[in-house]
Amino acid sequence: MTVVSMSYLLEAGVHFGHQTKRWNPKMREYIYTSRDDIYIINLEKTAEKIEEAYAALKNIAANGGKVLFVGTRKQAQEAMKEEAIRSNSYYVTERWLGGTLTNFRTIRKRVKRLEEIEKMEKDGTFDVLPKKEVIGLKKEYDKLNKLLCGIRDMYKLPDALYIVDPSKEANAIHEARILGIPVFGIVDTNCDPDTVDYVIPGNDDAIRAVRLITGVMANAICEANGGKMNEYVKADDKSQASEIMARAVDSVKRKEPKRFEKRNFKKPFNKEVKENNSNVKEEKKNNDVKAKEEVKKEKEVEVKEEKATTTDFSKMTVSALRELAKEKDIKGYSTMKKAELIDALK
Amino acid sequence: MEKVKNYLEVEKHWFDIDARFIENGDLFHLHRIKEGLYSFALDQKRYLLNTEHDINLDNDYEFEVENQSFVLTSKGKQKTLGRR
Repeated sequence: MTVVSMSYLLEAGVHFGHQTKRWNPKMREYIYTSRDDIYIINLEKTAEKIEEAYAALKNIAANGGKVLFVGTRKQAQEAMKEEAIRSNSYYVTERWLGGTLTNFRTIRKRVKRLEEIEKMEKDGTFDVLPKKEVIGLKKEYDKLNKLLCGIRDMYKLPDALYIVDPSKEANAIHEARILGIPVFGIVDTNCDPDTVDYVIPGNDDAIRAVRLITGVMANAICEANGGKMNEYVKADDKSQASEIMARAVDSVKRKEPKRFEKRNFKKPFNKEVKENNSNVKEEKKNNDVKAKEEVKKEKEVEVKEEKATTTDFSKMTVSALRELAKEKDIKGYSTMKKAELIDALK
Repeated sequence: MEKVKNYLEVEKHWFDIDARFIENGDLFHLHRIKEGLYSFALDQKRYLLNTEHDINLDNDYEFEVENQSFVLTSKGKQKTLGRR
């Protein structure tokens, strides 16, 4: 059963992966191709995986299970909150408090404190307390409300976790894994899909992409519990898959110069170039050998010239004379003066 | 020949950018795909804008499309001009 049209996925930019240099090789199976140093995610596989996740989430919700939406990325916060409220689920859109799942009792205590402060405000305790204390309590309330408002009605652990970007929500995933809670998630080309049980390959950076996929997941819960459904299916379907993927690839045509022009300096790895390189190396070697031979010849000539001019010792320096004296095994050359050296050498 | 500049007034900038053409009031939407990568539609054609980094509207941002120039006016600048 189609739950989302590929054309919707294309329009939302779900097919845009990360730059090729940032990829995780485990995502290879979900990548269609790369264009201009950007990976393009295979939308056919995305649609297939969404359907799989949809069925599993629907099944969990139908059995009375509750889902926790976790999206602390700024571009995901709004969509996650809205869709969680629509599907009557829990959500965490601010910082993930360590131990939200594994130390659930303590988190519940913080929720109780939040309710306590609320009660104090309602029953007029705030009017009796000193102003400074009231300000402190309000500050505490704001902080707790910001972090816990999405899970204040969560009296027991959730039955599933839905996340955006597994690398950002690594702590939440880790806690869910410890407790054996299944994890559903949007996984971009830079993330490790092994950390997620139900992988939805797609762009996790774009607001529209996140909203679309999260909306579909919320639909699964709504369908099971009888909530308000959003329409994400168009007349087109899988028969046009190849055409849609061609459009997806074409969409990655840049008007401006490439971002990574430096990459062009990398040596290509084809045979011809290798052969050319080896030829160039050989030529270089030959040239070097020739150059060395020439240098040798020059040195020989120099030495011969020196030997020829040995009679003119007066023009030579003391150190040079001493070296010559050393070569000729003249005793006491190191203490001799220039004139003495010249005499000894003659 | 100097290119004609189309000025746009930014209405909302939260990853995506919603703007309006100052001349005719038409809407313009820049959809942020990834960091430094935006897509937009003009005359029923889709374009991809590569800006290296996310667009910062502390100052005006100008880009060109097929011999046309578009200027996203910064909100800060709009306020300053208003005060004067």
